[in-house]
Amino acid sequence: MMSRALLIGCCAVSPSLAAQSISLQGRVAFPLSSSQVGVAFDSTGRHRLIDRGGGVWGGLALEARLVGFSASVTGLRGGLGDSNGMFPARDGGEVSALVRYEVHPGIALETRHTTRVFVSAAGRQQWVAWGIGVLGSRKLGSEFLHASGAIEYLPVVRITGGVNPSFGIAADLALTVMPRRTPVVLSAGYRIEKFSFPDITNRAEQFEVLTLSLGVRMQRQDGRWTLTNRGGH
Amino acid sequence: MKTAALIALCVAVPPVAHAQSGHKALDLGREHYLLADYRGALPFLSLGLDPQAGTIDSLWTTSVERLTDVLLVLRRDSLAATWLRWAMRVAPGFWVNEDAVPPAVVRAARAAQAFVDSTPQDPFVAAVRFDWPRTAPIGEQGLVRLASAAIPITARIGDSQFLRGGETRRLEAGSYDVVVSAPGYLPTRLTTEVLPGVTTVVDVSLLPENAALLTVVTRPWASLYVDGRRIDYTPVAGHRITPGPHTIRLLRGSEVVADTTIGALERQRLRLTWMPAPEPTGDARVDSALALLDAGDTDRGARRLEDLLGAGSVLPRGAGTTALARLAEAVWALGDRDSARACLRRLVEDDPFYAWPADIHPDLRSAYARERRRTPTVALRAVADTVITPANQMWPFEVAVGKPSDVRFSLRVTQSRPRDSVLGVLAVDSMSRVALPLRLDDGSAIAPGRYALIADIGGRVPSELLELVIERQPVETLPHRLPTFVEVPETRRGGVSRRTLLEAFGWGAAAFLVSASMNDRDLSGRSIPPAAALIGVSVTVATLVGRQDRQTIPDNVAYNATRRAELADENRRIAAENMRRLNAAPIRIRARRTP
Repeated sequence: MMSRALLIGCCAVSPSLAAQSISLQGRVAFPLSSSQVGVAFDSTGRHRLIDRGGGVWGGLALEARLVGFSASVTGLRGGLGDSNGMFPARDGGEVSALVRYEVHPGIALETRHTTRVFVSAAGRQQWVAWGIGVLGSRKLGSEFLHASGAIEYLPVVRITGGVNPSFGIAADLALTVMPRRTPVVLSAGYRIEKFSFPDITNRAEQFEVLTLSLGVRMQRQDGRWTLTNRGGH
Repeated sequence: MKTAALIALCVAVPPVAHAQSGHKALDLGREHYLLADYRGALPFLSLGLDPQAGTIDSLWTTSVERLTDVLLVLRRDSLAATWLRWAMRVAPGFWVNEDAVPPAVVRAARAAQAFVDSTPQDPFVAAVRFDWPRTAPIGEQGLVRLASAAIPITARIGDSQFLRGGETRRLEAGSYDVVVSAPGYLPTRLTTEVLPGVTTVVDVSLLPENAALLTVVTRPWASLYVDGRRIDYTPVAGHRITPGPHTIRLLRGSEVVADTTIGALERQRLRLTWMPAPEPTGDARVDSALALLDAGDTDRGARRLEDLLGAGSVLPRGAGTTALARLAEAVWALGDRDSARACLRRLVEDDPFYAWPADIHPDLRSAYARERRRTPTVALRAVADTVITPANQMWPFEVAVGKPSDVRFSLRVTQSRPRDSVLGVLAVDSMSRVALPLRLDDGSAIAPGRYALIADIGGRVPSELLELVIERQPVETLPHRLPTFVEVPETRRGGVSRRTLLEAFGWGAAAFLVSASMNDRDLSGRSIPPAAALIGVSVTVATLVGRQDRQTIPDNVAYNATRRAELADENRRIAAENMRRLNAAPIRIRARRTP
């Protein structure tokens, strides 16, 4: 069963399926995780206990486009420090898969599945989220300069060893540059996810990540694969 | 009673006096014939054909045709055949005019020709003469008389009639085999015709059993005379002569080519040759057979050639035609006229372009001309490699036919989608030189490529095909002009418009606000997410940079357009001139005959 799924997965990104373009990118991400883990009371009143951690993650992203469809897989991993010294430092990483369908030029529907893991001396926490959203994109004066923004609703979020969020929403911004006569793809992206929990838990989560990517793009033209950006986004 | 019968006979058949014989009788026969009075024409034509009453001329030939037609109309086919055979023996060059006589006469003539060819006779041993009656021949019977001889000769006529020298016998009209023999002499066989009312006199001079055989071969041809008696045109093969001295003379016209005396021994085979050095044909086996013929060994040479030309053998084209011509000459000399004609027909079929050599047997030359006109075939010939200028030259080729025919020519494109284009129909008598314009209606040359020139004469005769490869010869063309002017800029930066400004900041703000609005300031510790601000600013800047408006400079646009138009005009003129040069360019035609 697994081998069949693997085969299907391979076929999904196989050049033989006549994907119009494939791009491979190296990615550096700067995540910032902000969590309200509880409340404390002192003489000045009620205070939120906040755990903030930032770091640098690195990884790869592979994207394939076929007519109106595009699919991408991203893997990132790195450290996540503690900004206020209250909590132990963690290692983190995530794997996400995204499928997008362009229903109209500049407008696409997308669905994303993300598995994010944090590991520290205190233990291991895994987030699994699935969301659906709408993406808008437009050229910025040139075929090779492109901006996009997306809003996602995350109806399914599962956290190991804790209460699951009651609501999740995410926003995604990206700016992509594909210089003329080169196969190079440069992009910068910002994603923010916000999760609400039941009030009784006194918990809230926000996850942001700034991503910088550098990669190459390969297009299929006249039945041959070439490293090029010809044809634009 | 006898008187009454005689009167009745005189009324039924007009009395045609012998004084009316010859041309006068033939003229009368013609008049009756043209009035379709066939029964009236028959006696005049029969009487007027007496060879001793006049010369054998065109009137005589036409009268034989008319007599044949009359007999065929009267349903007396057998008698018609007998008259035709007789005419062909009396006048060996006789042939009906196929364009003028009815087809039934042509068919009867062909059958008679085949019969005569297959029943030759030795004119030096047996002579046949015909004594005509003084009045028109009556009835269906004729007389045969064996002339007296110094030796006791006997003749067997047909299967059952025997005659001694000096005897006469009445026989039904027709063709008869006659064998004349005497003790100690070589028997002779001949075939002769018995005509109604005509006396056929067979006069033989038998040769002794120890006669010698004389073969004379010359090139060019000559008339052979032995002891002052004309034998035939050379080559003469297997002519029997009595042992002893003989004078041999060869004449061409009035010129004496050779004059010599030979002594023949009993049963000796004498071969006299006056042949030039042979020219090689390209095939050693053919050359060897021709050497035998040149040496006077006609039998062996002919057999060798027959083997070489037999079924399945492949000879070079030139060698094959030479072998066929020489084989025809050899079997003609041996007296086998039918086989000789078959060789001539095959020669015509194999190569209609074959030109019969002027130095070979005149009778055989006539036979070749006759067989050629009877044999339906067609062939094409062209120079293997030609260069012409289609605008003012045409491509020459030659067409040859056996039987005069209307030849239909078509040109077929063999590359890509084959299609025919009929060029025309040409009436060809024997050989014709044709010039083909290889250009289109507008004067340009036809497109280079592979073509097939097809000649077809219809019927069951296979089409003749010449494969043509047409190539355009290199021609100097003018290069297209490249731009020699520098284009001036047609636009200039016009700054950022208000709309672009609004758009840039609007999209930047939207990008920022979408993410900033989700930020929980207490949770993240930042009122404004710096990354969101970074993306928003980037979108604004990118929009401003990418959307910078440009203003058109009309003067520069007009200047560039004028220069471009001038260049385009010049290049159009160059293209037209190049096309004219290409159309006027010579083309090379390589022709190859395809079997």
